[in-house]
Amino acid sequence: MRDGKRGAYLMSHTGAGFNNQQLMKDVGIMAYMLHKNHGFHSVVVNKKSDAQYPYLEKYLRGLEMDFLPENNLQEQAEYINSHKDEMDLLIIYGAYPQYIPLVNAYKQICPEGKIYLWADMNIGWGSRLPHTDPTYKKFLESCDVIGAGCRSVQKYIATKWRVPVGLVRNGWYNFPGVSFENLFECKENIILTVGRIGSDQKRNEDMLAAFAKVANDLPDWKLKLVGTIEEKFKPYIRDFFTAHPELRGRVTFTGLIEDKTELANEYQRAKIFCLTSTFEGGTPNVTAEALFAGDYIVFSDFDAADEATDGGKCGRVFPVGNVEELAKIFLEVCRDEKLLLEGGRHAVEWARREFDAEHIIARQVYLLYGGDAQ
Amino acid sequence: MSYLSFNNDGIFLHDAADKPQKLISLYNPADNRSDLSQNDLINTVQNNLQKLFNGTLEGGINAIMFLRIAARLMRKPQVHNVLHIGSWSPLDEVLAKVLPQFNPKSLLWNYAPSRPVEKFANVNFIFADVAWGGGYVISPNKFDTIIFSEPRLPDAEILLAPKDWGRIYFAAPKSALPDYLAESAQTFDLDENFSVIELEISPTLRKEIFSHTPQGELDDKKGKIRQTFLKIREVSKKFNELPPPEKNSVLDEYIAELTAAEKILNEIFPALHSDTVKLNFSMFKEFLIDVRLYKDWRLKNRALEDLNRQIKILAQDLNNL
Repeated sequence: MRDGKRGAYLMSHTGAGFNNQQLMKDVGIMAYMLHKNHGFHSVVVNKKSDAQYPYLEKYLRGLEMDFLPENNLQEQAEYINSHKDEMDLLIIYGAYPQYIPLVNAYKQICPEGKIYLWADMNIGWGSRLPHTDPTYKKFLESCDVIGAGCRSVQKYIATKWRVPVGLVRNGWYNFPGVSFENLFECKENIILTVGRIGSDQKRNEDMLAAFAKVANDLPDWKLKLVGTIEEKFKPYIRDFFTAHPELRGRVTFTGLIEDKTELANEYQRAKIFCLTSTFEGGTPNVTAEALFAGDYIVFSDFDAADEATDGGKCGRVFPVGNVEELAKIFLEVCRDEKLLLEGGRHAVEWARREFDAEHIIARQVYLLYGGDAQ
Repeated sequence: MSYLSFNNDGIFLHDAADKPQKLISLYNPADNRSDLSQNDLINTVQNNLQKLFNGTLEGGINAIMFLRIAARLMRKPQVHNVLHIGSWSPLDEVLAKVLPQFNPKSLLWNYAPSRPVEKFANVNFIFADVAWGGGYVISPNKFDTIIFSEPRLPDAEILLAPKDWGRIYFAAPKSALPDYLAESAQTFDLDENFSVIELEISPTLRKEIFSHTPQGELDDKKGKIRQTFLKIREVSKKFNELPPPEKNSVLDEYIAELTAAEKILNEIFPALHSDTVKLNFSMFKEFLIDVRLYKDWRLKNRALEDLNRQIKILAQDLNNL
């Protein structure tokens, strides 16, 4: 404890660190919410680099950051030792075997401390982990609470790893303080996607191809792709517009939008949010953002896709890589205003129930500390 | 004699040299993605199929083990359709290419545990590339044969899973089995180093297995669980029968009763062997926390619906113990 407050320390595995973007996602939000809502002092222990962290000042006031030059095991152990009276909770992100030395060090130095493992992963990645290895099993059993990003991964962990596991979806908190008044009156005929545009994982080419197939039948609709564009994808974009010059102006690439207000506005303007990913780790952060903005969800069938749509009540799921099916979905839903409105309203309701970051974190705190910490 | 071995790290060549030489990497932990070309993997396995049939392709894990057992079984003409239950991996591409070489009519499906099994028709052969809890396979009496990839005993609740299983195979020596199972098991050897247990699960054997499980050994705890659960059901019934305004006034009392029961169940549950029950209990706790935390009555009521539904599921689980 420090000044009567429990200490929550988010540490990456040896050699790694967190960037500015990551602070506003999952475990960064958890560390921040523990401080904001649950009286913790929260620290992100990071690898020293030249990176800037503007989000700390703008959105995450009160979240502290300490730096270790190499963030290797020795430095981490020394850090834990020098903060042992303050470290009540160690938060680790991802079930990487690389965490084992850190967890062992923490358990030795802070035997009364708790460990929270946010196992944000997909089943494919999780199946490669050495869960029957005794050392790795001990690591999992050292964690007081393990959180999985969606129901299917929760079930997988419970049966494959045989450890207790809670559900902790990547939620959303209204950091920019955007208004949701008249949400559905402000929407435009936009299909939106947000992410690393052009990565192998995201398969944005499927989205572009599907839209191109039906663009003539949906003359009022636009496709907007928000995010940094991978270099290797730029030739594809050029070829796309060469083949479909009529879609210039209807298909737009905005680049990275760092301002959260501006980004929230993009979500709110769109009627449909689409992902075409081969896989995702748990529940992608964009899911909660899109649901709160009342977007109708159209996702490829990665692990958490069905949950994102609440079993089809606020969206549709299609087989990964199936451009024809995606095109059909675009054609059907874009022409059904009633579906989009009702689906969008359900999305908001679903988001408030299941993707509220404050509630999600409160639940984890309950699992860690019972009712005392509320 | 040189041979290939295969594990989650990659494919290794064992020859006269002391250290196995890694030919192909399968898994790069730095970026969590395989850097193995699927074509490379397929080609390597295909090019060594003769060794596979001859039993000189080593490896005790996953696909190679399965393929070796399958090589024996699938020479029988009636074995056709294979369901690979397990998360996607490059091995699925291998299996899809290689299986028809055993039997031209064989078909392969793959599914991840989040999808229902029923949609796969006419499957009579399962390659279970997962460590199972009781819940994944819904209609097992369609399936004739199941092979476990992991060389350890499957969980007791798999052997006790709903309906009757057919034959189960797993790679372990007979000496690994407890006596009461060894008596019922057949073995066959793939080679001098590698034997496979074949177990035919009958209703009689199921009873025998149950009596040896931790669940079977916990009769007194079962009694306590049942008692606690009857209390939960009684309290839930009373609560659910109340009209809405009265419900609100006794909500705190309802939560207190459930919390007391949760505490007792917390003490007992880790001793139970069933992962499904433990998972359902985790979900029960989750919904109970939600009911406590939500201030908005609409959300609270939704959480109550989830909780009451979960209580019924848990009751069903406990009845099946």
